[in-house]
Amino acid sequence: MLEFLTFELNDTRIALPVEAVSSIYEAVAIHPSKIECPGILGDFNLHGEMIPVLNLDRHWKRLAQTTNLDSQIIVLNYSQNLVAIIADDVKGTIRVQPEAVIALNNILPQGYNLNPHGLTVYDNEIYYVLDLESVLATQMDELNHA
Amino acid sequence: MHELLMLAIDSTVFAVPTSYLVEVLPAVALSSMPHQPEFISGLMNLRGEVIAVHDMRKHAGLIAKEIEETDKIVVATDGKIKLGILVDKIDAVQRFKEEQLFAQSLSPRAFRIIELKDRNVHIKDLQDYLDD
Repeated sequence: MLEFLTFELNDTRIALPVEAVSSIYEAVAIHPSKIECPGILGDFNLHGEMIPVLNLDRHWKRLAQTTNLDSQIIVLNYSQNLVAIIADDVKGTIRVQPEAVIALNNILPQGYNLNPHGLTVYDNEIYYVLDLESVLATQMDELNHA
Repeated sequence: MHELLMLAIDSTVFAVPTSYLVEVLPAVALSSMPHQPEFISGLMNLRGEVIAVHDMRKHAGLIAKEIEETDKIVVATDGKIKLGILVDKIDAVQRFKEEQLFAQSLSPRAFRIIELKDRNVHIKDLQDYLDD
């Protein structure tokens, strides 16, 4: 079985591997980052350590979400670094069979098949299964070169 | 004989060969996804199977509009995958002889054929459909 943390962001239901999740916090102030990088919304103070908060919407070329009091911060462990993403609403965890996750490549037309993400259905809802490697590698690369 | 499901978007008529047809459903709210191609209206949960619903307006270059309750989703398959085709209105299944389609193809208002290829929707002129 695969276990995912699920959350909503800009009306999209997203699932990410639960093993990548370090912790979840209610929204707190996001400080302007000292590093100028369009992929970073700002920094989040985690017990004195400033954690970069990534802008998933920018990665997806959508309008960046605004954080509000209901937003939550998901801290991820990626390549021995802590990074955070904003969620509108963390829903919980789901467990699905590996074969229940289908590659987007299998349903999108040819020519649009460079998308490594997947989809799954749980409790009649469609979840976009995030391929963290493809998202975070790009954004962390930008951050390291900023 | 050619058996075709006739459907319409505004006043433009298209036809889908019934060999592609799985079912016709009332329009439902669709899920969106990041990086969604503009000609896809969204994703639909078809009894546990996720299918991409194609916006025929975008494919045909017609004026875009929001999904309405009266719209229909034609579920079609090329034998490998299923996809949905969002249309305004479904008419009826009609059977045409080759010569009837040929006569129709000569009309400036001839309907066009929707075909499936490479997990995508393709619009074909009636003449090209007959030539194939």
